[in-house]
Amino acid sequence: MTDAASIVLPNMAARRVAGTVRAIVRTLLFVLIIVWSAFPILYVVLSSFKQQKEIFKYPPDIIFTPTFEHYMALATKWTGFFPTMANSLIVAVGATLLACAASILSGFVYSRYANRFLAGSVLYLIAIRLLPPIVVTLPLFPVVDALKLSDTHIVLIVLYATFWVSLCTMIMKTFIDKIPRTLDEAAVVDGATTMQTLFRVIMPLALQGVAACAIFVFVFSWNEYLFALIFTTQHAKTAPLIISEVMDAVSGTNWGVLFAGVTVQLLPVTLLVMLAQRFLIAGLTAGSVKG
Amino acid sequence: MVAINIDRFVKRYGALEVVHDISFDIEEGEFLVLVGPSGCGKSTILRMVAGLEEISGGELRMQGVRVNELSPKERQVAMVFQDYALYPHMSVEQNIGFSLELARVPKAEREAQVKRVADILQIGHLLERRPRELSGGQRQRVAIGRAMVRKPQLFLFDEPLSNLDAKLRAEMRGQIKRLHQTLKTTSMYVTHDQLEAMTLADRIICLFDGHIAQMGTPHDLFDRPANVFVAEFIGSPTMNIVPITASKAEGRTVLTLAGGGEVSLPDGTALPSLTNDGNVLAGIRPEHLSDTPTPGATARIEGVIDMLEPLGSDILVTMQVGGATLTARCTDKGQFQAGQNLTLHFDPARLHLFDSKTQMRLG
Ligand SMILES: Nc1ncnc2c1ncn2[C@@H]1O[C@H](COP(=O)(O)OP(=O)(O)OP(=O)(O)O)[C@@H](O)[C@H]1O
Ligand SMILES: [Mg+2]
Repeated sequence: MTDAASIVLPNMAARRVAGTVRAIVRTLLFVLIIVWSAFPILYVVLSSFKQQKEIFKYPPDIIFTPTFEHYMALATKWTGFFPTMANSLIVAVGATLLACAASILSGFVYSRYANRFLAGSVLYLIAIRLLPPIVVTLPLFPVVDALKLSDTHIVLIVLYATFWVSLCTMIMKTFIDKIPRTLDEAAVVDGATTMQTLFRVIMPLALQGVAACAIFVFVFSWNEYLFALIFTTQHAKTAPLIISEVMDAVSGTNWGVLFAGVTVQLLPVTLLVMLAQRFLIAGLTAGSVKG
Repeated sequence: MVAINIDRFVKRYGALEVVHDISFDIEEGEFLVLVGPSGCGKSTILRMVAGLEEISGGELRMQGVRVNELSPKERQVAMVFQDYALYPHMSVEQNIGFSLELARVPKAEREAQVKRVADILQIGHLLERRPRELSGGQRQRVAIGRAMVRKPQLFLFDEPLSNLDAKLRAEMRGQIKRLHQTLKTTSMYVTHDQLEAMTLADRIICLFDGHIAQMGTPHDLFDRPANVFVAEFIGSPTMNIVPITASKAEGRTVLTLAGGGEVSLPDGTALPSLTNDGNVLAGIRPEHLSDTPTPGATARIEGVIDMLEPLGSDILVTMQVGGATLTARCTDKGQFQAGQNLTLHFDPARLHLFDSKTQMRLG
């Protein structure tokens, strides 16, 4: 008995120390990552409330009297900014809805049906994403022009959605694959049509996937610059274009206004991600089928 | 009256044929059980009847009408799945009422129907819960409720009890039996558990590798198994089956075991005509072997006790005799000891003989 204890104890102590060291290292790494990723955001947000001359002071002040002058300037001098935010919102919401709707349908098909055509088209779906966007953009220009879609919300909505539908399809397929097929069968026996099965049974259980897709598409569409620059001029212009104009102003970059613009630009995506998180966490399929 | 005709069913997956030309009928109100080992095609046949699996060959008729091309809904079947397949995002009430909702039954009537079913199954107090908040037995009841609420023409069960523990399984088995006695809905029930088949069935179809091994009442299968497969599959503990040689000596029939042991049959025992020069397989159920002679003419067999497995009031006695192993189920009065010599008695009428090559029943 004592023998066993004397063998076990040092071992246990060593293990406990090792466990503590691991926990400390893990915490440090965690803090480092948070600082690393949060620092630029914090820097931008704080700076947007500082006087112009305080922004580049070194070392930076943590405590200062906030000012809203850059936000006022953004609203009065860069009158395009807030209307373009509305455009950004229309385009981002539109693209998100379109991409999600398409991906739910196609993800369901890829998950539940199999044939040679479908197997082949998976490769094609992925391959098209490998091209640099600019390669796709330029040949599109005359097409968009001919369709009289230049400088409309629709062109950006369709482009952004198309750009993401392949990846979102794969995401939805992965999520739907995890839903047991007996649920589909139970629905069919209960008298559901394929569409009813998809929307009443499958989709509510794949909401995590939908939320993930929505975040990807929304954040991308909200921040996208290249397509917006090429295909919009006035009417459908989005907010990132204005932010870049602030940066490239002939009078030199007004950093305070730039930071204010970026801060405003950050708000909706932050809200969306926080909202979508609810779906990302919940494990909804638990308890449906056994084993 | 015949409710369902299964006429020459064939199922192929590509080049692989898993159900071979199977035909049987189900009577109106009958409880038919498909039983057989894993992979023999029970679920496949059930799913072909349900409309979840395409019928590769043959015809399914309900009330005399071909329904091969109809959807499960149009066939008016309801199914209870092995893994329950409850909708996890819906409450118990919504789960049970889903089919009615799809059929656009008005809300008030739907609620009344759900309540009726829930009361029968004693899950009325669980209606607000989600499936994950239920125990296994409760989930099973919800699954049955979901099938019942539609008042189907045909109930299909695919191993509905196999996920439950032994005690709950026995309880639910009783519930299903009682339910069928009340509702009298034609039912087709798949299981690999022979006990479930024996207790529930009006009629059993025993499947082997996509073929029907035997079809009949539980008594038919138990008392007159058509072949070695059914003999071994039905009944627990398993029937003793040993190779023997039957010969006539001085007008009496003597059965010789492969290892030299002998079974003496009483005078005047009539055996069916034997094949392969009397080299046949003999089968006797453990419960038909007894350590005390019963009145009348009994057959005897002598050996040495090898192992004892007490079951409470009964005991399983395993005996070595002439190279063969026999198990007997006897009343336990503490009379047995391993290593003892033992004489077992049985009624020759309980003896089953099978052809050693074709494995088919003789006589
Ligand atoms: N989609 C499929 N493709 C190819 N073979 C299949 C397919 N589905 C089933 N099978 C085969 O068909 C045979 C019968 O399967 P089935 O599921 O009907 O067996 P079962 O009797 O229900 O067995 P269990 O008791 O294990 O459920 C098996 O050999 C199985 O491998
Ligand atoms: Mg099965």
